[in-house]
Amino acid sequence: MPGGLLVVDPALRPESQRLVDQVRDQGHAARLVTPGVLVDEPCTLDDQGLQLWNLRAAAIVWLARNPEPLACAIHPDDASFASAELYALWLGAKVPGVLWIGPPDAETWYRGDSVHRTRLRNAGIPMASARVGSAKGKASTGTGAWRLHGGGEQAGPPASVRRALATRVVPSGRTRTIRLQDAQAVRAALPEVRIGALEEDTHGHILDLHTDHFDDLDRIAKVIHDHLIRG
Amino acid sequence: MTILFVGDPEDLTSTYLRHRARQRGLEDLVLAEEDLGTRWSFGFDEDDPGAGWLEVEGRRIPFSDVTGASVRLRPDPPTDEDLDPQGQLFWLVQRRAGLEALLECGAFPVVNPLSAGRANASKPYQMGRLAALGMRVPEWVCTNDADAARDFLANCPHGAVVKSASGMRSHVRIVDDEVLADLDGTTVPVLLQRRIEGTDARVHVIDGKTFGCAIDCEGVDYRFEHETAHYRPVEVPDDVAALCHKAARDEHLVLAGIDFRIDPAGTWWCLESNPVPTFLPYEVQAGLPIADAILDWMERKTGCAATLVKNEDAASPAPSTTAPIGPSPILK
Repeated sequence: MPGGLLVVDPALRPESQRLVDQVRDQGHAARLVTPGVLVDEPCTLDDQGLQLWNLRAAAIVWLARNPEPLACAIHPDDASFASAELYALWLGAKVPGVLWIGPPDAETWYRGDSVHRTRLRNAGIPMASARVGSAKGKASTGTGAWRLHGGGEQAGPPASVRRALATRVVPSGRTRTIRLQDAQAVRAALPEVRIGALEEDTHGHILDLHTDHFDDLDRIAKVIHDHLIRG
Repeated sequence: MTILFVGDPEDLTSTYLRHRARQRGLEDLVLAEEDLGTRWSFGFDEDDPGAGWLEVEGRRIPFSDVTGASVRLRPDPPTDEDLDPQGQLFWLVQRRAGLEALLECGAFPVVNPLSAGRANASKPYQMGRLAALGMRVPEWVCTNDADAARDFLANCPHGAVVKSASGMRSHVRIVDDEVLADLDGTTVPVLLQRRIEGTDARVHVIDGKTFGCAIDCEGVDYRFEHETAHYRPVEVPDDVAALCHKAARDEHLVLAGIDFRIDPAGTWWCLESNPVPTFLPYEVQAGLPIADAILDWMERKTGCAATLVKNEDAASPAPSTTAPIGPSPILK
């Protein structure tokens, strides 16, 4: 059975549908689904990959975040267990031979983009100074962006949140967005991550990294096409 | 010097490890996950995490006073019941992420960092990695399709077991007609795995040390067979031990508990690797000194062993798991 594409997007966004349409136009099977489709339709996963109904997933674009409520027919009492099980299955579909566009490993899968900062730092990339945890003794109106540990950003969270649940990243001077072609070291440090944008301060210290799986839809569609025609 | 016990203040394995730490003259400090941001907090600068600090009920503890941290989280930690479900999820995620920030800061050794062993949350993914390392992994399939399940069972001479695909703990059971009847193409897929006839074994690895334990048991899942399961030390073949250490390193684990079935021909079949192994029954019933190995590792990493003062209990035998532990600054 020839393989096809699954784009897994809980929001079923128009750009996801456009990617599916482009791949279909190239003559391949392609579907836009939510993570919960593994409950709604017959599926089988083994060490060769995932089959959903009559489509063997030879390429998967994963656009969900973990954990995320599942839109499928599960009793609320079982939702937590079902969610863990389904996300485990989806990650298990990342097997050799399947083109996988999404979190490159289990840590990124379960912890989100916050791992990139640590990895860049460990790779020796200069990073903007970050103060983690309690803000006691620090000026609450200082410069820099507050980030929640689990993702997201605020101009300045309430003191109760700052006490333990946020990081203040402090840039030196002005910040700017870097062109990706000027960020070879960062790309080399995170080879499997689709970097959408990078921000740095005037000293060249990285403040933030954003991933973007739709930075170039045509290019992604071509990568998928090339993979699928190789079988 | 202080060892932090982070996560679930009622966890039995943590309680035992705390007791062993106190026997070495170390202070044990429990940091309950649900109390982060209220009864305790922390702060550090990424550029100099060693200068960071904990604040526990008004007491300031510099990171430099911390020998290490042992982490055992509960799957469903308490949250603020006044929040709506979405708020509760947000709170849980942010609080857990805050814990991760603390435990990943690098200022003190941690068993195990939360970034390590994440593959365990997806057994299909993990089994692929273990097989790629050279472990023998019994064939498996995840499906909600009864026909696919029957096709799989047809190639399993000793039947198959069903278990969770995620890191959620489940009671492993034999696949029977009842399991198959539940599969109608519109259910959560289940993980079926070829059953290996033979004996269960658990291998703990830490800091170059290997602790093998065989478990004789009539039941399918020995973890739930407290009356009949018998734990005994077992020698781990060199090649299997080497693979276990490799698997731990591959997942950045300091301590790993790796499950096997040993078939009648002596082949070790790998089932999974646990990043937060409950080592207590293997230590207490088979006499494997895993807790000491953990504490040895922490002390060696922080280089503080020479300064420790052993207390009177240092040479006493391991207590039973229900032994009273005595006063301790538990924050719950």
